[in-house]
Amino acid sequence: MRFLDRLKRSRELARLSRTAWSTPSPTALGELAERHIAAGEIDAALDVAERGLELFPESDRLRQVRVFTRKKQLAGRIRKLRDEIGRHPTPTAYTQLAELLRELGYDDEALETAARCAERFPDADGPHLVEGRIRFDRFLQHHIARDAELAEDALRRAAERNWSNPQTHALLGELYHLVGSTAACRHHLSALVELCPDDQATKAFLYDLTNQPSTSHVDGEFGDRAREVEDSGVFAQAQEQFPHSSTAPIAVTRLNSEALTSHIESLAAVAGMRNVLILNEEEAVLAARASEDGLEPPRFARLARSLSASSRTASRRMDTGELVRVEVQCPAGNVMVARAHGVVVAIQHGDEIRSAAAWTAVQDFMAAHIEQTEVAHA
Amino acid sequence: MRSVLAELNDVVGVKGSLVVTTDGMVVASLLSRQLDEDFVAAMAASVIQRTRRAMSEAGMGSFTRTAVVATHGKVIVTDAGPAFLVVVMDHNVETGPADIEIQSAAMRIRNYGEIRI
Repeated sequence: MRFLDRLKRSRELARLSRTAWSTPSPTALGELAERHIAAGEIDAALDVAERGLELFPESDRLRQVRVFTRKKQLAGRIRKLRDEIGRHPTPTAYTQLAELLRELGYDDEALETAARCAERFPDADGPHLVEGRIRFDRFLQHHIARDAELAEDALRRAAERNWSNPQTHALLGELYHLVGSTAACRHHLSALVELCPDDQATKAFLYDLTNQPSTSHVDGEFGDRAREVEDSGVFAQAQEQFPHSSTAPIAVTRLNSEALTSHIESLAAVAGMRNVLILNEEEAVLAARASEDGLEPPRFARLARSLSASSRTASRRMDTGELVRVEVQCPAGNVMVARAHGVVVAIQHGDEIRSAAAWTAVQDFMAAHIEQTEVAHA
Repeated sequence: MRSVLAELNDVVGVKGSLVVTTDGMVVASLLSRQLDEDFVAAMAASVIQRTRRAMSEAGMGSFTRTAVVATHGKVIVTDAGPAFLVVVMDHNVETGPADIEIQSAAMRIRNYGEIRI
């Protein structure tokens, strides 16, 4: 490409970037990321996608960009590992491949790779550690009891095969800490300290844990404790207390409920919208609009709550994680209930607008009223 | 019917599919090893029953399709006549391109007519 063309494109991208970041939305940032990809700027596209996902974790478009760009970056390594597994399979190669797939967000492929490794090399701890890590990360993000139980199960298998891996004990210790299983936490931190005697932070934490006046020697059922975390939405112990806590701080975005409710007309005005409803986290109605062919707001609110509750339970139990949205299509109309940033937005629309376009409209509506970004641990 | 599911499972992003009755009986199933057939069927039946009830109470009648989109996966439930087609998908893949395949599979299942378990 000629120099002037490159310069022109570069200036246009810079202008687009300024516009997108001044009023960010999943659509604007998605377009910016895709323009970077078209320009061959994979790293820049990845940066936009990752920063965008901190603000809009529900955005499919940004997630797909992230997966695409990271796959591009890691393609060579993945190919090499697959070739190696094909020619001369080892637990190390399998585990490295599973880890890479996990980094890419291909959890299912990572779990499948780990499962194949475990079948082929039953004494290897690596595949169980990868599985445990995936489940543990999910539990950190969404507090779902099933993920905690599967994490514990996998990490215990890893520990049985290789008691000398400090990472396994660190993860188990943190998992038990988060659900409040103090005795089990102490057990694995003791093992960790034996393996890593120079780890002063863990030693100090273990000392404090052992000398707490209220320390119980009986933890109770792990599953029950995990379900308490799921029901309350809060860990039994603060994650940042744990030494070398495994996740970096994350951005937490909340929506300005007042602004959302006062601007509900902008979403209601989208062609085809029949009902728009905004609920807070406790599912109390903040605002509602209904067109002539929409349902009466109280009836629509009951419908939205019911769909949200049943789908949320199902998504957790079916191991698909935390509910982002549920869409229901029927001849009488189409309903979407979305949960994000501490609010629930529900719409009913006709066939004048496709579900994908309706979802984009809802995301952009929410994006226009993001109130604050705070940094917190998962 | 398994051949219908096998073709569907070849679609990018599909982790598995099954055909269930409204009370959770599995008619046919092809799921990846990570998915528990009985569990998925039971949860799908729960979604079907509760969605039907909610839509009926709202006066909106029967649903033709419902999609539960979550952080680590998606589940699409489509009315296939005497039963429902349940498709579990990867969360990284858009449902749009797969929708046509899902609708086509549901139609083929519907054309089987009465289903005996």
